[in-house]
Amino acid sequence: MNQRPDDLPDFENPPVIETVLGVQFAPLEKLQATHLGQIWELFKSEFPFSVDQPPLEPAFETFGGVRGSKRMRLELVGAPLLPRVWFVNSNKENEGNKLIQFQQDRFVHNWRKVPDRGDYPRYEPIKEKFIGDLHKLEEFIRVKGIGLIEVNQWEVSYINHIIPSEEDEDLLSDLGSVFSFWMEEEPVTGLGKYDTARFSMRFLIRSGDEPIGRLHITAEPGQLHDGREIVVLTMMARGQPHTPVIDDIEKFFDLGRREIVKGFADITTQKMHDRWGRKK
Amino acid sequence: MTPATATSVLDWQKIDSRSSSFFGLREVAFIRDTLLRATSAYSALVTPKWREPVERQCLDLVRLPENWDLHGGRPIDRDTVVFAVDMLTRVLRPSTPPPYLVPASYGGLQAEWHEKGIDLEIEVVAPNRVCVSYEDSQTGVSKREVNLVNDFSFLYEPVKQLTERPVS
Repeated sequence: MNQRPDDLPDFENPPVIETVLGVQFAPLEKLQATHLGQIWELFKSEFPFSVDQPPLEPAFETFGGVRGSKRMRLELVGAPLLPRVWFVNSNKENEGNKLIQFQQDRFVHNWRKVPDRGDYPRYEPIKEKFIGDLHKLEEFIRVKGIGLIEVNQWEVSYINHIIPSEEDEDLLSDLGSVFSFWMEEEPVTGLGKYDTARFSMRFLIRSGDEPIGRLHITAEPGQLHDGREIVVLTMMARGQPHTPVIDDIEKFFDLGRREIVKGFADITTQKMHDRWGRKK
Repeated sequence: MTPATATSVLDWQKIDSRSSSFFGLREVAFIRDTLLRATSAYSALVTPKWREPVERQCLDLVRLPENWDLHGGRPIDRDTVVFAVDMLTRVLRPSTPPPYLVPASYGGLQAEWHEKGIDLEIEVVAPNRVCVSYEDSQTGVSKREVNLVNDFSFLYEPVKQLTERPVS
């Protein structure tokens, strides 16, 4: 198993509560409903429960042209599409901490932090598990003559819950205490202090001079089950691999993770780093 | 902004009750961005004039059945249509003339313009596989079979000419 790179920032208690690794591939045109149950069998010992969901639309990172253009969303209605299936390790609320998502053109793993379900695994074992399961799926697809898995997008996401540490701390109207770039001067207008704020940013991920993906960062208000108001910080890296071969994907996951972890440290404040126990 | 492929789930028990159908016609419904339905009627956002023609043509394309051309033509791949629409949204300007969308027998599609002395053909073979041919009789520019992956900066100049050049 790869070791964590020494140059990456590290925290004792990072606020991450969910990690997602996923690949999008050319649709498996010969996939049938009967195959879904057989695919579940590959993972059932660890994921004994299954739920159907509507399929996700394809998504691609593209470059050049207008950055501010509004995307036309394309939705297939009543189409003979197979569902997205969730394979879950528990059907009890707040117990399931692992999830596999599969559809005709997508394979995704989600891990989330749940109390009393053990330590939250770090990236390296998560990646190793994903790659192993993807190879297992690929083998099944090949043996059954369904097609080939030709990856056209990879995705790494980290979702963070930034929770106030003191009872009277209001992060939603004090984003400058969380984000290093958020200028928190005295209000310069008659509007006074803002009540809440949210933002989204996108950064290019490059291989040399060539853009190959993007890092999407969004921060928005959220609420925990106990009513506490929090900041939900989502960081998603997505892009195209150089080849569609599965073995090529691993280094792009590593690249995405690197962009996320370094970006996370860059955009958050020293105050938060102290709170989360930054080690390096 | 929530990424379009948001697969992260913070509450896995919120199960979407919409059920999938294995049957029925293959329809495409475009959902316009909610921003266009915002309460402000004078929003700075402009609905591109090519949007409705592209929507209508995409609907026709995805309805093509097997053997649509009587020579074994394949239905157009859904992912290819999505990728093509995404590309067009990125490169076209609000007043760019709408393209003709032409199906390819292997399951791809081509967006083409033949007007104002410009012949522009953008063949979307599959996601991340685009082939462009561009000829401009006024400027003498001729570019044949330029392969693009996911960076469409090359299309800036042809689209600019298509959009800004007056009809002769």
